[in-house]
Amino acid sequence: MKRALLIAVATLALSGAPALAGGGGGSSGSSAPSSSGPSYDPVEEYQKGVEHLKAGEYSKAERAFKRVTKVAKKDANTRYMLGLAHYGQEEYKAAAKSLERAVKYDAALYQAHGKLGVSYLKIDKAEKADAVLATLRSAEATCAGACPETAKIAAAIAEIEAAKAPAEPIETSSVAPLVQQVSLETGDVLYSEALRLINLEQYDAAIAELRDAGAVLGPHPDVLTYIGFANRKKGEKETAFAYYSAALAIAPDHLSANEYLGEYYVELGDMDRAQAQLDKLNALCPFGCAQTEELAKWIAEADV
Amino acid sequence: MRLTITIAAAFAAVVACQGTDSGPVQTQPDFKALDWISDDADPVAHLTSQPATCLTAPQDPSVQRGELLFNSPLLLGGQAAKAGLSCASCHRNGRGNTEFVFSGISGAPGTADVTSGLFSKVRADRVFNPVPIPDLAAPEGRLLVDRDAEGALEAFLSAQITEEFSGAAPEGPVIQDLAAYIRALDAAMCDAHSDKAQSWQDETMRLRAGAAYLGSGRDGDLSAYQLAMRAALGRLYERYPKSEFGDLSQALVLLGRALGQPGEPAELAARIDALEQELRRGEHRSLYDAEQLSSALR
Repeated sequence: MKRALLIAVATLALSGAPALAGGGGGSSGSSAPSSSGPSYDPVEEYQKGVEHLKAGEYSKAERAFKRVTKVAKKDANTRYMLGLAHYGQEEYKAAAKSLERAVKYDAALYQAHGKLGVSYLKIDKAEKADAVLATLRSAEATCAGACPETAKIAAAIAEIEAAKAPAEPIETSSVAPLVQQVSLETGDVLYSEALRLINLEQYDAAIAELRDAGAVLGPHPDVLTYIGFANRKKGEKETAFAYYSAALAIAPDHLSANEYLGEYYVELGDMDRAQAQLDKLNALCPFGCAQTEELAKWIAEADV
Repeated sequence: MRLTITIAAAFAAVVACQGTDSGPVQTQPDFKALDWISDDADPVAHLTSQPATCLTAPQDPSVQRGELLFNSPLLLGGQAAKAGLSCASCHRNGRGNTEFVFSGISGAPGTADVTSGLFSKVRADRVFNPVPIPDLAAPEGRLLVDRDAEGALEAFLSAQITEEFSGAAPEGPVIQDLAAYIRALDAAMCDAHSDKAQSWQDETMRLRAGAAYLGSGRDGDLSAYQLAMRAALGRLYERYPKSEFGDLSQALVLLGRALGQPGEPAELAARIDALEQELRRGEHRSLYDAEQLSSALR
């Protein structure tokens, strides 16, 4: 069976330019040498990277996550994981750089804030670590215990505070595991739960679940699509667009990403672009699909 | 089992669509029906056989249209429709599906949580409580609702679509045809424990039932029938891969696109006639053939 993400895979068209990113692999002979290169599936590479992290193989993890970033350039989880790979190699400056990008791309990825603060301390940037701590405390105050991320914020604060006054030196090796032993099935369960929460219109909680699913699964187009969807429903349209774009960068023919992007254009009143999305879906689904029907309905209702 | 998360495999299975009348170019078979079967199930057996047909009135046009709709992935709404699930995904040939597994919905194979928030918020009970999928022809399946009480089955089906699956309320004739099909399911009409081969004739029977209805001059929204017919063509497309059946697959795509267009009923019937000839001619090379299928899935 396909697990929860079957909804996703089912939402990939019968077709599509291969969703794998990178060059053509040079095997078909149809692409120019300059465009030919290794072909990476960002999700698969991400998961390889996580396995390397779990095994303490940090340089291998670094290589895997760097491949992911070639495709999913702004995926916060990938930047976080890359930061952990550097951290594991005691490359704290590089770790801080990756983690800075992680929190830039997703300010609510609080575990990245925590590790960023600690990385700053390792390179004697105590002021920056304090700034991170202040950001976290502000988030903690705003949440007032009511956010889905409350526990993660508290953990990040505790991590930085512990690093500021270590009882005794900590060897890097004892920091392991840098990632929890979480199975891929856990990612599916998180994704499934997120969709349930979306159906119940609990968008903040859904985004938190999707963020966790993304941490396990990597920049999966389904996860990215539904983070975009939940944000759109919250009124965060720019964020939604960014996530739809990220999903489509990985899987250009992802049916739901194309549908929701079309709906986004309808909401903006950009009917030409909405129609272009519908045309694309019609081409992708010669035998019909729910995504085409749904977007067609949106366009028809907007025209009334 | 196909892990969805190993998206590489999924991407490899899907294919390039050129966005032309030639339709998608398949590089290896990708069967929707395999998306929700247990890891332990035999995919070849799952795709070549099905529970026996147990119908009291198999020739009744309304029953045949109901079967067409029952197999339509566009009848249900919400995530179920996006995933491509139809009524028949759980109730193969109107019966059960002991191999059904859908993450977040199923517990053991052959079960489903019908009050999951994954498909609908109306019936969501926040409890993961999958139950065995009933055989709709068997006594336990027939007891779910009184099929003889006037309107009871119709109301039940309408609520299933709108409340359990977040679908749009179907038009009256759609519900009537679905109800006719389900009323006709009766294990007393068959050897309920036997299997029946899957064949292209299953699909062309459904196509003919839909075509007859579209050509009958009925008023109202016929889109549910058109979409169900298009989905039937898509299932044939899965079995007659473009790499082997270029002209036939193109004909399937073109016929699918023609369904929404105005045209003479006789013309549609003639196209189905022609289609049948080609399907029959290619049958032994198609993926309805167990050996061909086994080889293709290897």
